[in-house]
Amino acid sequence: MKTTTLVRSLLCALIMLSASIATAQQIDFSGEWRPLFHEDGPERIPGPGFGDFSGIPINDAARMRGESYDPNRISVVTEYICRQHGGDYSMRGLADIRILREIDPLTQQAVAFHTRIGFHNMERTIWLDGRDHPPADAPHTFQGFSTGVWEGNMLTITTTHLKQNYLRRNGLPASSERTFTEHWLLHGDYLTVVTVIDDPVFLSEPLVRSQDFQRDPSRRVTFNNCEYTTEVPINPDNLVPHYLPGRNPYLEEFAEIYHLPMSGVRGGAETLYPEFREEMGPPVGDEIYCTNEDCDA
Amino acid sequence: MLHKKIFNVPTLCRALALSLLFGSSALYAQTLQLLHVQGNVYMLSGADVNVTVQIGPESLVFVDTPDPQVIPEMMALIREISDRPARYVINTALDQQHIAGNDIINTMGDEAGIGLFSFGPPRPSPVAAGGASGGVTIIGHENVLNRFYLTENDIPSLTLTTTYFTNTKDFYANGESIVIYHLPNAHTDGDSIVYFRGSDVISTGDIYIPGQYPDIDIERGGSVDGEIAALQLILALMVPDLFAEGGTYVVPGHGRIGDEIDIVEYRNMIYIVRDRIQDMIDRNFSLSQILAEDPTFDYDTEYGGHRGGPSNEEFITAVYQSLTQE
Repeated sequence: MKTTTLVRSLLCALIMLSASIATAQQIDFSGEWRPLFHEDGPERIPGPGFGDFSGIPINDAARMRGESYDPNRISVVTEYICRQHGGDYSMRGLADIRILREIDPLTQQAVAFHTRIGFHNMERTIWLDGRDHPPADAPHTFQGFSTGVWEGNMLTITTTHLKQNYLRRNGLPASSERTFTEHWLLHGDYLTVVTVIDDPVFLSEPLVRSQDFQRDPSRRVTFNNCEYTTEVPINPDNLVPHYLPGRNPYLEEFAEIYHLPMSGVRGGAETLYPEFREEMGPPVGDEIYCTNEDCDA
Repeated sequence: MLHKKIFNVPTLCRALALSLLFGSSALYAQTLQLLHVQGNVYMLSGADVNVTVQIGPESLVFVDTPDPQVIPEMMALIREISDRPARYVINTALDQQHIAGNDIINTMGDEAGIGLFSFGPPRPSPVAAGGASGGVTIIGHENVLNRFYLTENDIPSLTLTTTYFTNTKDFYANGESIVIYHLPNAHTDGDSIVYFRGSDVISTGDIYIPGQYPDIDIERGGSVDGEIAALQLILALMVPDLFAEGGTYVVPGHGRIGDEIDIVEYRNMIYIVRDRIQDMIDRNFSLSQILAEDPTFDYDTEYGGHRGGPSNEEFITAVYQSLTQE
């Protein structure tokens, strides 16, 4: 009798555990989402200041790339005009996102999430069926190749096969060798996406950022078209606009506008930690707070 | 129509025989893979050089040939999807890595049952373009031929071009046109790219090697401006799909499959480094002074010699020599 009870208890526990796992795997992020900008708003909406590398654990190579970058490049190099954000950056943009869940009709398990962002028609598939990532020599894409696993109710996503792109839209590069891990967490009608980027070429530590979205059934992701064209006269002697090392006249502009010491805006892992505040020193000049637009007023 | 044979015993037997004949391909740490690029075009990855293979209802067309040791395994992969004979080999440059398998591939164009890799019912004897006796036409720019016979004495005897050209050459195979462009004075003076127009794939040879500095071989006629011009031509041929992705694909001499934006990034890197070195030359810097300034510092983590290509010193030196030679 005792044995029967024990078996029944174990069976019951097993069924409950299975149900629990099945439930965890059925967390559904589907819907229309609008981005919230309470984090990193200045960087994400008007765009980062030129020479503002703060908060990014870049190495010296990335810093030199950023310092030689000429913003005219995205107008002169026409191939860049319709370029997508990278998969690790696309959720930081201004556009809404739609998430659809694909269900296997036979098992009723989630096979994938499909996302579409209303800018440059950026689409991703996050595979949940345990498939392998493509071979190393397969093509890379802007959105990369993503697979997800459940950790309780949190979806953890690994993305590889990314194209070279940018860590920040002011010339800080992101290599095609980077990978990133995402954690998707649902809190009622809010979705939090934590992104951890590893780039052996340009980062000395992982870059961690987060983005939040609010569910909004009234939103609609639209079709976005883009035609590349010649935006500025092209100088045949300057097909790839750039500054020679040490000759970029605008690098101190951001620090001057915000009265920051240069050491505070040049980026690097050491600048991410609280103790750097003491090393950085106090603001330079009068302590004022302004935006790019009203500083001169 | 492709003849798909998932498990082909004769193929495996032949592969085994050739393995014994030419040694093991276990020297290659990476697993050989035949990646489908697009249309009729595939890329053999994992050997010491990428091999582009056009596979269609008529024949096999190879761009560059790998180390003989890997050919049995390469052919086993190809025979899983095609039993057609080899008809063309196009060599993108004279580098031994790109021509090492010519002799063996040259034996594969015989009619069925004679060649080691021929399958299927007997077919009529091939009509060899350019006078190839084995049924395989081997094509290269005339500078490949000239340097082989006139100036290069350290390359072992290999079957080289049976057909050579001077500017461009085109032909039709497997239902699509194939255009070969000579790109003068880039990696060498004998570089070619091969454009499979129907499949919309370009095989670039060593003009483009992702993650490595270009090997600008000054002694064989290479130059940095020729390298940039070559990449510009490739970009002119390429049409991306929506939002700067896909469309025309490229098979590089080594490394992963790419598309237009990959070529753009590579062109940008060479263009910027060229400008930096030219600026120093204009300021009368010597080569040793330029090397000390490290003008490739921000590119070394992405393209430096630790990845298998030229070191930063070798690349800087080649660019300097290219910009200062008469």
